[in-house]
Amino acid sequence: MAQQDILIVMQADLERALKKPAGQRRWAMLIDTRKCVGCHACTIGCISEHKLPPGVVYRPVIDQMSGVYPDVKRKFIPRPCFQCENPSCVSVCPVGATKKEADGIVSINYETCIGCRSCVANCPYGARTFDRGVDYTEDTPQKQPYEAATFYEYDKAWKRENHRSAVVGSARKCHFCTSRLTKGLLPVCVTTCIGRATYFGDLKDEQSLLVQTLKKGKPYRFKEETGNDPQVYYL
Amino acid sequence: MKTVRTLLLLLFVAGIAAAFGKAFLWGESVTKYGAYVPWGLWIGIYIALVGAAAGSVVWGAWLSPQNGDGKGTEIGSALLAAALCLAFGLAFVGIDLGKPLQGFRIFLHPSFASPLAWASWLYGLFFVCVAGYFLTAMKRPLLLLAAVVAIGFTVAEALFFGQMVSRPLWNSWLTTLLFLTAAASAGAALLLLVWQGTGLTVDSAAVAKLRKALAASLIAYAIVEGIDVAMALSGSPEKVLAVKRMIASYGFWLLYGVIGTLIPLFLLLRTERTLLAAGLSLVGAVGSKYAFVRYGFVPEPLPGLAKSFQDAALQTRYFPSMVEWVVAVGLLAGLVWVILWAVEKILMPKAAQ
Repeated sequence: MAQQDILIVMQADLERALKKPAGQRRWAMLIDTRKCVGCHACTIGCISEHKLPPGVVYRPVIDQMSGVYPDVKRKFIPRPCFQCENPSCVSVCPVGATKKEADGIVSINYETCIGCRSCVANCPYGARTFDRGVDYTEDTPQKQPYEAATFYEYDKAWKRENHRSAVVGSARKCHFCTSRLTKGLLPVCVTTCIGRATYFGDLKDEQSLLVQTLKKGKPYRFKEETGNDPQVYYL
Repeated sequence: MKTVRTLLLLLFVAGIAAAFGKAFLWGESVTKYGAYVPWGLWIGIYIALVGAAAGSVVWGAWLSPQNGDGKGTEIGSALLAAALCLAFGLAFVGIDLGKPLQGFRIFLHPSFASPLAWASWLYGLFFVCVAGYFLTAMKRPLLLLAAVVAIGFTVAEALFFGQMVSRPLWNSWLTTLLFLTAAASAGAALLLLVWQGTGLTVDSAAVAKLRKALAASLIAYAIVEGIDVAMALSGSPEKVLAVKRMIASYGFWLLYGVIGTLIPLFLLLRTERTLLAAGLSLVGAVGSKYAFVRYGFVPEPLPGLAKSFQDAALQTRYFPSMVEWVVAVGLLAGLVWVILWAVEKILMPKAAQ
């Protein structure tokens, strides 16, 4: 019998996790760099989903080369927000605009963020960017409709119409597609991954594909010495 | 002098215009900081001015016993210069905010888990102390309270930077000592500049004392900076990279090391060069804090990140934009102009009474 697509498996895991109270689940991600081909579909999917402006990127793919010719290696490392257990970005915020949610997501309240960028400075992974209020069509005759279109983050609808929009001037980062999750949809970077390199699920669900894959492999995490306890694992 | 004042005022007006433009019209599109270098020139100047304000009031309190009741031109000028310096420092950070009009939230909805919230509240308390000093008869208690609060906000600010686990250059217990010694030297320099550059009549013994204090604090700051650099050079590769880039920068070795430390120490050997020495020390204070902020962002958070997505705001390179320079020069000129004005209109009439 043909093996089921892991998206179908993770979709079932997601539906199971959503039946639990938020405090009893822990969203996490596992990225198998051996399966990542560096197509950047996740980056583009994310930009499209959240209508990201210039200077804001939630999930870039780092192209790393190592070794000395002829013994060289090339590795692609997609880098979402690591939704750390002890996020150093949260404690530095002077207005409490960013916090660790019950389900493990580190959120930003665009309405209370003052744009001081303390959190941007203190993310060990460079996962936070800053919405400068610029558009891709800057200095062109007409702003394109997609730049003013509604997008959904943290279960709210947002628009970037002008400099007074709450999102403009705020720190921005990946949030594992919170608004998709609550609708029972997997994060867009997971569904667009052509190599099926990104696993997503509830770390507290022993039956989930995420936990099973973590157990089978030898996962590692970046910069553990910072004490941030990131919730994104790599293989 | 009138021409200099007119020039300062013109620069100030240009600075205000550029600051308003950034805050209300152009937004962040006219700045060069971004995601991987989120702070730049304005934050460097802000830290330097806050340090100068704290140092000024602490030296004022230190000199106060010889005047007994906490009154006197020397102390009044220390508090006035400190308050103005702090106000302009906060103007820099206000303009730097992504949402300048939302800055008040830090006072209404603070998160005291962040040392920055503590620092902000202490800034507020400091202004209350200064206002109380000038408006009430409780001179000495308010002077001493202002000095304690000034040390408090300097420490809070130092902890804010020193606790940043993501920035190896700053993440050190020595950062607090760096901020305190920098504040001591910048404060002494600011006060000497006000005393000797505005025509105020001040006690010559106090000037002599403060000259020695400036020399001593410049040496202390240089020693702490030297230890910090030496320790950083034996740290992690990211820390070594950051500190090497910092000490090689003009802001550090030229502005701080030569112009802001060595030359002033030499000039302080001669009494008549005090004003110049103080001025150069302040230039050095700005240079060192700019280098501290800027080069803290040199190491990439993850190798290759800055090349992973192409955008001007996603680079580890940074050089201030024209608007950043105009605001910086304009507001610093404005600070000098306002101090001169305040000394003439507030302190001199009081001293004449």
